[in-house]
Amino acid sequence: MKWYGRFSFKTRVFLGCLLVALVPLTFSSVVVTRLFTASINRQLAIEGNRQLEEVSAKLTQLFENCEKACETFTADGTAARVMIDKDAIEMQKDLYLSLYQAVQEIYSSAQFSIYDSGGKLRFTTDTASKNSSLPIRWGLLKKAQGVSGITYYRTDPYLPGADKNILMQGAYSLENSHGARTGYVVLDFSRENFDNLLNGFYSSGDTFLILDSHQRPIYCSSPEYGEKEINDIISHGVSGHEREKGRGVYTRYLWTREPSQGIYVILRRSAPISAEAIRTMGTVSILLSALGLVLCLMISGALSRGIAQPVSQLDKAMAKVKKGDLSIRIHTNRQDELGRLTESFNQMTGDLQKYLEDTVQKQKDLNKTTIKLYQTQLNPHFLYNTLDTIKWNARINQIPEIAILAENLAVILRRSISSRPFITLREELETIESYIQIQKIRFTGRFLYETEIPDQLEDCMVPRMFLQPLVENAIIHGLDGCENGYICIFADQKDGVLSISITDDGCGMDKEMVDWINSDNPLKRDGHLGLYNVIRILKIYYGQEYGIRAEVTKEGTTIALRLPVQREVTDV
Amino acid sequence: MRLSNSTRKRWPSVCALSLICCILLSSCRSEAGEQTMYSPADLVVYSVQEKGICEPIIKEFEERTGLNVKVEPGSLEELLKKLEDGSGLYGDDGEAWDVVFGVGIETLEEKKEYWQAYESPEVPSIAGAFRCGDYTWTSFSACPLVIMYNTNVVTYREVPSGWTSLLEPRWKGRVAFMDPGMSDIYSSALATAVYKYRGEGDYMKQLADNLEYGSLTSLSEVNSGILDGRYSLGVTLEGAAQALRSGGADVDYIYPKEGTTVLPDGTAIVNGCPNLEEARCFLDFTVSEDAQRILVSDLNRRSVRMDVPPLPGLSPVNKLPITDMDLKRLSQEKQEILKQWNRILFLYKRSAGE
Repeated sequence: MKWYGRFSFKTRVFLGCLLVALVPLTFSSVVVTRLFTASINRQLAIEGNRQLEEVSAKLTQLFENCEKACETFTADGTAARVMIDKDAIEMQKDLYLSLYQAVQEIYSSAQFSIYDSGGKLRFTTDTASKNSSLPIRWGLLKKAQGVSGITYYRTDPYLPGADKNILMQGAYSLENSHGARTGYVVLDFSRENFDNLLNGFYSSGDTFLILDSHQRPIYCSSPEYGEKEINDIISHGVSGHEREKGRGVYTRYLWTREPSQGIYVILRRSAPISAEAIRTMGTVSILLSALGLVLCLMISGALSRGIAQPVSQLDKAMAKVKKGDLSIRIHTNRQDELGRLTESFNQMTGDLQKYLEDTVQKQKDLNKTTIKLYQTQLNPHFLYNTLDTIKWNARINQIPEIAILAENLAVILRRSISSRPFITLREELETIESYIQIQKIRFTGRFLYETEIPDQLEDCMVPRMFLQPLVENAIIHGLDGCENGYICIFADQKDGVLSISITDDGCGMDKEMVDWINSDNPLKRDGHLGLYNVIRILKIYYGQEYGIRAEVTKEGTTIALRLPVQREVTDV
Repeated sequence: MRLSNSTRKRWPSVCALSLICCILLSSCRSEAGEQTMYSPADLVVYSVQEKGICEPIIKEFEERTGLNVKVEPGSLEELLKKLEDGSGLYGDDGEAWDVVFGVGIETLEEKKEYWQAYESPEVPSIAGAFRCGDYTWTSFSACPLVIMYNTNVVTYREVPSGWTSLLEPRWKGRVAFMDPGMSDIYSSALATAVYKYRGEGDYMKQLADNLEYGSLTSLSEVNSGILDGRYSLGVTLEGAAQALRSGGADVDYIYPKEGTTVLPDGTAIVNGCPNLEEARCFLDFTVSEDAQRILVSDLNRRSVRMDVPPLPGLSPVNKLPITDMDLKRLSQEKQEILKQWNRILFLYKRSAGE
């Protein structure tokens, strides 16, 4: 069955449909035709044999009747006597009477005549004129000599003296009481007699042929048949070649042998259905098969195309996708499973394409950021050195505020342009400390700053510069206008979550701002870039469940950050 | 073998399906042939004889003996061809011939080596002229050649008298004569006429001229031609002429005064035949008195037996003017005559063509 796998899916569907449609049709038409012809042939044979049996029985019956008639006629011995005693007119009359009586039963089957021992005709029941004598040393009477009972003899059609109308003759020796032959009773069977005998036993298409024991024709039920046709029937009957070449219903030649006289009866039964009709039947079934083939070709072609086309389209499209062409789409109007499959494919490639484009865009953005970062890193050393120079110049010139400003600015600068995205909380707090130092100089100590950080949490890794915007907010916005402000940074850990809150006791913030901070994904907002950046950083780095919450009470404002406790940075 | 496993699972259904197909198809098989009517022939007779003579004889033989005789009708030419090309004496369907029947005795004499000798107990009754010296063949019947004429067109003064009458100018184009090349009878007739001719010129040339170089192709054409007056006279067999005359037709016939030939035919048993007993039985029957009598009384032939006289009105054989040609001479003459005849026709055609 491996060969089967070599075909394409479409071919297999096609061939399968073809096979399923054609094989039963062809098979059934062949079987039906053969069964039909076989049953007809069998019927033909059975009926023919029955007819033959009947005819044979009828012939036997006829022979018996003839024998009986002869015996009754000759029983009293008068017939034999009359043959010798020629003058007794009375006796002749009696003889005719008894002759007519004897043959009454078989009157329609044979004509009776009486010939004397010299072969001369003496009495006859035949109304037609006939030969007045028969040869006694040839033919019928010769054969009848020395035989008891009736001898049957086929009339020789070639003998010029023979009566052409008489087909068969029988002879019965008349013997007187001393056993001497005095004459013959001769039975003539004419064509009419045979016609009467066989009448009703055959239909118009059938032909009966009666042959003598030497298989020479006596009678043929079709009078128009010449020697050639008759010999043809005989040769068919003899050879037993019943059929013509080829299949179908054919003419049959059946035969039987009458038991008492060995007479052959051949019946030729023509086929009730002509070979033409059989051929027509064959042609019709071939045409039907052809029609079936055409329909089948069309339907299975359409079906296999319907199934295989989308599959092969998908196959080709998939090959293109594999090569990277994600723009491919398959157009379909179908509503069935294959239609849905095609649509799913389209959607899948669409999604894939979109995802790929997003990824590319992100990559581009990242590249841009990186470049920007590199650009920003170009000048820091110059800035440090400058700040350092400022610091030292301030010390030399004894302007301590400028020295402090420059020193802390340098610390913040260093932190802000550091390449490490994560730093420890301690480092972050140091940055905040520097920032506070600067702000304290700016705002000349209007606020108090303190931290409450457990020692063990100082090693936690946090995003760089993420507290600074919040502290800046608290100083610039929260403590705006306050004389003695207070800012506290408080850290705590619970269930692996690090909470850092920045509290100020300033003027608080408006409700809209609180809602904005507390929303899941705050949109970018003018003037609050720092806060937005912190929120995004936390969400991007740690996920949606982490972030910032703002709380405004009478005492002040608390911004709480939630982030996981991480001792070391795994990956960004 | 992964796939064959799946087919193995389907074996039962495949088997069932094939079984059903087989049953269906075998039901279409015709029933067993019954016994045939054929019964082998006890005797095979190759007959050159006319059917009208052969059939009654065969039939009577069958009736008397109860044997089955197969008759293979044929022609002399066919027989000679078979003898000459050495294909053996077999019928078309391969049955060996036992007896050849109705062949001219000059042919039988010539092809002696093919027959086996058998001395029938009836031989002593056969007339001496028809006996075979070494019994290789047995004559069956004799049929003298006659000149038949239509009594309506031939007045009693014009009645032909012999072979020379055929040359009379008044019968130019009115003589029925069959092509000697096609008929044994006519070549014999021509040979006899030429042998007996004492007149001037070439008999054959004159005859051909009188026939206007046309000849018929069958004996029945000759007979019917004379009967319906297309021809005034012609050469035919005594039997046919006698049958026509006794049937009341307006024809009469004469025996040529110079002498005629009696064209005896005969029977011979083929060398090495398979049914020797039956063949001998048949041969005995053909010359039996019964058969010879029927030959005379009903079949318009002359008997070869001395004790069977011809029908009343026919002169006995020994009173007929019979030529004194012997068989060998006749046989030779015939061949010579045929050659000459063909040359005459050829010359005529050539001159006519020119």
